[in-house]
Formats: sequence, structure tokens, C-alpha cells
Amino acid sequence: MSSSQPSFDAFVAARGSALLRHAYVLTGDRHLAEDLVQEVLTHLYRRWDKVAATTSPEAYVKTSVTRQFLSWRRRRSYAERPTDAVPEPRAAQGDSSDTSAGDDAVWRQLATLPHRQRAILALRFYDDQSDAQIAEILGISASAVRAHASRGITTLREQLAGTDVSGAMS
Amino acid sequence: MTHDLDDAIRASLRRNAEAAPTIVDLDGVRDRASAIRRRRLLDTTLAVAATVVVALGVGVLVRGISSNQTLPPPVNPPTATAWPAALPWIAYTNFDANAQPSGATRIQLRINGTDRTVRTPPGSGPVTVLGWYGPDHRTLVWGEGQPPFTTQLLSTVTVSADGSTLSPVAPLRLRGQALTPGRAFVGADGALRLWMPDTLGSAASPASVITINDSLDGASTPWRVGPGGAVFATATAIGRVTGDSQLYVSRSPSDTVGTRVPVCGSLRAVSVSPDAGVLAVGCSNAHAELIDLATLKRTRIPDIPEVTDPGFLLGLWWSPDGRLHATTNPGTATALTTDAWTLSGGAWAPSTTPGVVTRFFTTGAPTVRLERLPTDGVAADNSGRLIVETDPPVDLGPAGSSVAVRPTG
Repeated sequence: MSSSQPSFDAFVAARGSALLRHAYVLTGDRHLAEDLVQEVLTHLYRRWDKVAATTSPEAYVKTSVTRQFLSWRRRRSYAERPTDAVPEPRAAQGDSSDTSAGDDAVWRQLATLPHRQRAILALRFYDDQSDAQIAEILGISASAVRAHASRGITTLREQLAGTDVSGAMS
Repeated sequence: MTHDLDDAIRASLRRNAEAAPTIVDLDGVRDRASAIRRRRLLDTTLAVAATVVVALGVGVLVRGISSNQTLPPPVNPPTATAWPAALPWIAYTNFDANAQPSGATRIQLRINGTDRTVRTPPGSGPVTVLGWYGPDHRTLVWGEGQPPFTTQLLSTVTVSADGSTLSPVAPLRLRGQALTPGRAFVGADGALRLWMPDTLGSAASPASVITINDSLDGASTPWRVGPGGAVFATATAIGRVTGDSQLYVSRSPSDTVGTRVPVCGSLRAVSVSPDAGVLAVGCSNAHAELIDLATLKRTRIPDIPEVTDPGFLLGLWWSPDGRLHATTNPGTATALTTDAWTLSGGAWAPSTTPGVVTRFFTTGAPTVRLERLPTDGVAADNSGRLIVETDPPVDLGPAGSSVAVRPTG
């Protein structure tokens, strides 16, 4: 590894919280986000030299996190058990005005979307990735990205009908 | 509306992202990576060994045919009756692929040298045995699913004192306050209590479904009942085995919250002394401490040998004579080797305490080995270290993953 490449420890120290935020908007769950990031970093730890030599190690890791999220949910879903007592989603830090109430409505409905749709919306609206970039990350076509995004937004619009979301944009 | 919704999604994601966790468990990443490396090394070693065995077998067969010799009769594998009766009761999971409609997990009990089977309901999914609890440690508790699931259905079966009779399988019933240092513990009233981080200190409803935010894993220690029947200490590291280690000590049945004690990092093992006066803790960085359970004063003791990467700590044990023992794995090519140490004269020395069951662990193959120190106290190799002998392996089957050994101390 050349001196210009980040060491594993330095990378995690500098970008760990960003990775966790990325994982959190994908999963909607703090603990799953921690597990997801740890699983991916464990996998990449042993071949960090190659990761560090890429153009953007962070982009590489985020892509791994996203792909692991999609495959991980498939593998783990068989074992999840329903419970009658569904905990309320953790409220975001911030005020408790109507603005955040509308905001949380969007967040809650995002959690109900199929995970691929949620991942695409997260990449588009949180990471500001283009459809072409999302397609490359997910290994699908750009038209498929647009189709998934459209279905996700349509679902959200239907579910949020009657909810004032305009105030959530502050 | 379209742009309003786009903007609302963007705002929602960014606002809620601020509630994300902020710290990556770097020690946990390294530990897991090391474990994977060791496992792959072991798998490779076993694959090579199997290839050699097959090659030798073919060679013998060819020679036998060519010389028209009679092959020796096959050697039968060890049977259940070969299991030493003196070993503690153990429970482990197995998967019956032939059960209809889609297989079923069974729980195997090996009690006094006899195998018994507890069948779980069809479709109940993977099962993890959690431990032996209740009066005299005769109640086995298991959960459906494997960590880090957030919900587990907990069930129990109780074995008669002589080991001959099993009760019907029943859902776990909680009485009193929710308190679970670790997987579970029993109060002086005989009630089993569970620790639920989400509802720490609040009442638990008597239900069979437990919702937790952390895996039911990590280091834990059985309770100790002191004079007068009081619970002196229970302790557990709640967390994802390698991270977020939290040590809670509960020193009486009425202490339903426990006292959080800072520890040295990634907690690996905890053990309460026979007189319930001292708690020993060991961490993945080899750091070890003794905690006075009366004052919660922490005293550092010498680092445990061989624990740092690639080695790792397996467990801590107090023997009835009040001496502290540790078991470690050197993390080298011989993953089946476990070294035992005893704290003596202010330093860890190769252990010579006989007959103490030290640890079970799964190997790379679907087997588990139950280990104990040689009863004759003689070192098993010439390295100057005591190598723990292994008893006949237990076949866990392809889906086996968990084992619970009944405490004997």
C-alpha cells in the first residue's frame, strides 16, 4: 500500500460514521446498520490493500454495503419473527414540530417499501447518485432503476395521500 | 406534488440519518476477520487431511487387491455409551433433514452417557440452546433463531434430578421483574429472569416472546447463591460478542437493574468465584481484572497469555479451591489445541488442575469437542504447556451450531 492510500484504521476512523449513516438510511434500523457495516468491513479488512488502491475506497465500500444489504435481507428474512409489539421508529434528532411529524411519516413509509426500491430512493435522494450511477452500483440497467424508483415514489404518494409533506423540506 | 415529494424524501432521509450510530466497532471487525481466517485455515487443513486419508485408503485397497489379502474389518465409530458418564449434561442442536415437510431442528441431550431427543414443533426454524438454568441447573432453555435476531421464542424442558425423565416442552414463563444479566439467571425464589436491554428494570409480562435489541450472546456467568439463599452476583456482557460490551452486576434478588461496571473493552469471559465474592473478567486484548463484588473495586491482574491476535481467550473458570483458570487458543494452525492456565503466585502458569471441564467449542467441521484437563495432570505434549485433552467429538450435523454445558461447580 502506498503512503497516499488510507490505512484501514484511518479510513474507518474518518469515514465510519458516514458508512453508518449510509447503512442506516438503507436499513432504517440502527442495529442492523451496525451489523451491516461491520459485516462488510470484516469482509474487506483482509484485502484492504486492493480496496485502498481503487479510485475511491469510500465509494467501493458503500457499494459493498448496498449490495450486502440487498443480499443480506434475502438471506436473513427467513428467520425474522413477527411480534405484536412493534416498537415505534426512533424519532430523528431535532424539533418536534409539525415539520418533523410530516418528515417521520415519509421515513416510516420508506421503511415499508421493498428493499430494492428503498435502496434506490436512498441512493438517489440521500447520496445524490444519478440513475446511471445507481445502475452501476446495483448491477442493473438504468431503465430498471427508473422503474423501481417510479414504483417506490408512486407507492409513497399513495400512502402519504392526505399527509402534508411540504413542510418537511426545511 | 412530485417535486414536493422528492424534496420531502430527501429531507426525511437526511434528517433521520443524523440518528444513525456513529462509531464502528473496529475491534469487532478485526476479531471477526481473524476468526474467519482461522476457520478457513482449519477448513483447508481438514480438506488436505481428508484428501491424504482418501489417497492412503485407495493405496491400501489397491495393495490389498493386488496381493489378494483380506482387508481388516472396519472400525466402528465411538457410540454414545462410550461417553464418560462423569461428564456434565450437555445439550446441542441437530437438524433432521428427513422430517416432514421441510426438516426440523432437534435438541439432543446427552445425560449420564445416554442420548435423548427433544423435538421442536415443525417449522419452528433454527434453534439455539442457551443454557441450563433453574434449581440445580436442570432446566434447559432454548430460543428459536440465531443471534443477532431481535426476537426469540424461548422454550424450556426440565430434566429430573436423576436424569431419567424429561418434562413436556413448555414456553418460558417469566415471573417478577425482567432482569437478565446475560442469557438468564435464577433468583433465590427459583424464578428464571431474563435481561432485556430495552426494558431494563421494568416489569416483564409473562409471555413467551422476548424482544431484544441485542443478541443473546456474549460472555455470561452463572449466578451464585450465598449464605441464606441470597443471590450474590450475576454478571453478563450484553453485546454483539465483540462490541458494545456492557457488564452488569446484580448482587441481590431485589437488585432488578444491576450496576454497570466499566470493563476493559471487548469482554470475552466472566466468572464468579465460589464464595461469590469476586468476579473475574477477561477481554480480547488479554487484559484481565478481578472485581470485588462487595465494593465493585477493580483490580488488574496479569494479562492472560496467548490472547492477542492470532490467539484468543476462550474462558475463565474458578475451581472449587478458589483458584482462577483461563483457557486460550493460540490461533495457530492447530485450531483444536486449547491451552489452560492457572493464576498462581501473581502470574499465569500452565495449568495442572485435573478434571475440570474447561470449555466446549465447535471445530471447523460440524463437530464439537468437550474439553477438560487431564485427570492425571500430565502435560499432553512436550512443549511445556498443558494441552487440554479432548473427549470423543459430538456430531452436531450440518445445521448444528450451539451447545450448552450444564454447570457442575
